[in-house]
Amino acid sequence: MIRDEKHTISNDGDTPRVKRGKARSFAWVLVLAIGVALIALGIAQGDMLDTWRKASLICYECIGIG
Amino acid sequence: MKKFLLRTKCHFVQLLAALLYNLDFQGIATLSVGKSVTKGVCVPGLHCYSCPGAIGACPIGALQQSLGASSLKLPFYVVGCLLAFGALFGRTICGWACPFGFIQDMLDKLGRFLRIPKMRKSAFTRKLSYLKYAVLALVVIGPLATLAIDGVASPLFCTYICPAGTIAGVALVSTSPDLQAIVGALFTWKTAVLAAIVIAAMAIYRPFCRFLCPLGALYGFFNRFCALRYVVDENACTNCGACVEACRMDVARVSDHECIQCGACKESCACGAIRFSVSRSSLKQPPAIACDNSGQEEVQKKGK
Repeated sequence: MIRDEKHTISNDGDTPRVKRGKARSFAWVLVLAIGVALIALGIAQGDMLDTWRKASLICYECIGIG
Repeated sequence: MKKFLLRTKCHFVQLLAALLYNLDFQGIATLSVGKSVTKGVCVPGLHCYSCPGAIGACPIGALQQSLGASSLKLPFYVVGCLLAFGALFGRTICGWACPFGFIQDMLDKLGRFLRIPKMRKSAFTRKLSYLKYAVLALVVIGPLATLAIDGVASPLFCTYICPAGTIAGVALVSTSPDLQAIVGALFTWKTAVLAAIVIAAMAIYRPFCRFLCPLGALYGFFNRFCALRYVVDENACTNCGACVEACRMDVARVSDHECIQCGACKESCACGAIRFSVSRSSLKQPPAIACDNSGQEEVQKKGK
């Protein structure tokens, strides 16, 4: 273990904070992949069509008519 | 000057986004809701699909509709869109690509022009900012609860709170005698809510984004790790707090769940410790810049 004044550096050369930063750098890729997979699954089960059906009509609740 | 250029660039992008969300010119001309194929695509910001010019679907409206559908299918498509937008952008959408955020920014400028006293952020506003999580819970639970009780799902957020829908409603009702004949107390309530938000936005910075927006609440969960965000160089940061002080949102640190990635913190940092995650300087190892307490800069090359 190497110690400097502020941080404890592990044997692979990274501080815990740097490791967290690196994990965050790739977390978005994983979440994006899950999102894309869910979008594909949703399209396959007809969700996009349902959304289109709702969005192509006036939403009376949304505009305050009820 | 740099701050002015940043704000001008931001408002230009916001205006462009607002125009991109409303490309249905025929709908705008005829004040009718379009039926193009693109209405099935969720846009990242808060924009009512009943707006005459809207070419996409509001993700919050679509989420409520999916949750309230009697078929009780899991809303994979809308949730997938929200995850994808959140993972890529987080609350950068709030700061750069939301039409209603743009409207509030313009109202903020109008308030300055009219010399309306501004309410500064405080511990109270930070506590109040958690209200939007209750609104988010309403978005999710409301349609399910009304479906269970009445057998008919009601998008409670859209019905009683959303100001974007009210703007669309005012545009449609003002030109349609048929709709004018059937407006009632709900329209009066929604108009009052919209008016309150408009007035508040002239005295309080982005009140809807900070206290009520469920989409901002949702995207906030992604802010710490999304692809596009401001990051702090921990080696250069002296914890002076200038970034938090300069921020007009209720942040505790840069890129926390309240940050809309507007960049005001970057401009305020004397040490250059804040950078955008995809800025050119992030492509190579940047030199660590450290400030001592007097604000003088020392440049240290980070070598191996």
